[in-house]
Amino acid sequence: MSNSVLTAATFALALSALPLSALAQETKPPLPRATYNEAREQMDSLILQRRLGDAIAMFKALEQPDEAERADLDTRLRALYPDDFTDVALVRSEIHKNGFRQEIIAYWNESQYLYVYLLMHTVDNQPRLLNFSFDADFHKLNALF
Amino acid sequence: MKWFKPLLAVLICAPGFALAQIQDSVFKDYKTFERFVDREAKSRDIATLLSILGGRDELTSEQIRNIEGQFLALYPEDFENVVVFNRKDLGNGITQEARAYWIGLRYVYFYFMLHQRDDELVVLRFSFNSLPDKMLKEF
Repeated sequence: MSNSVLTAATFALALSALPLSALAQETKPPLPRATYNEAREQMDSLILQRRLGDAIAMFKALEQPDEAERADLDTRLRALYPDDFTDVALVRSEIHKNGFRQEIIAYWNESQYLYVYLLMHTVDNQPRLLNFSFDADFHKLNALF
Repeated sequence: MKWFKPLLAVLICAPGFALAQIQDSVFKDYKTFERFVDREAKSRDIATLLSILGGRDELTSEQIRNIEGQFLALYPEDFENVVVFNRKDLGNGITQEARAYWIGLRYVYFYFMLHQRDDELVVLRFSFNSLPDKMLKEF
């Protein structure tokens, strides 16, 4: 392991009740199989590029951050993480009953890690995001299990 | 980041300590309990839920009214849907159960610890929250 691994422990974000609906094409109706895997793929691709604001904008939300807040989020993320991420992996997943699941996904590059926590509820084959949180400290998110 | 909604968390332990009486939170059977909880939760009758499930011993009627007021402000519509999203059998008739109620994209989460006795069901612990993380940790 490189000893240059940095942890930006001050960075944390939690969003509640972010339903994940039609993902990419806002003008088209949701794909019949807009599944969890497709959502994951798109979210991963955005977060790898440190486009957290856009990743959040994928989700319809009761209280969606506005454009300025999303831009501010990206600025803060990019200050803590100067490089794009190169890899992603599901670190922890727990399936509950009736479509509820919790997960932690890790994004990393040579020197840094970012962890993302998701609580999802799938209704009619559409994954909704009920809670969403980011941290450089895995254990903070692991404590949500 | 500050844009997410404030949390609402209420925890009720019943029967609690020596002075508390458990008869408030006793049901004939699980079906009766479930029918009661689903009806009152869906219609957001939080005062009734709190009173019946032990809150009468722990909260003043003013506190109950306050909690109901906060709840109604956070959840302006009745809930349409319910599922049990976690349940764990601890043995000897004791179970933990987590229920989600929602309308559209608005969710609330209820946690119960239940004891099935010979001929009655006792609610040992009851809580609700606008996020389920804390209650999932109880399992």
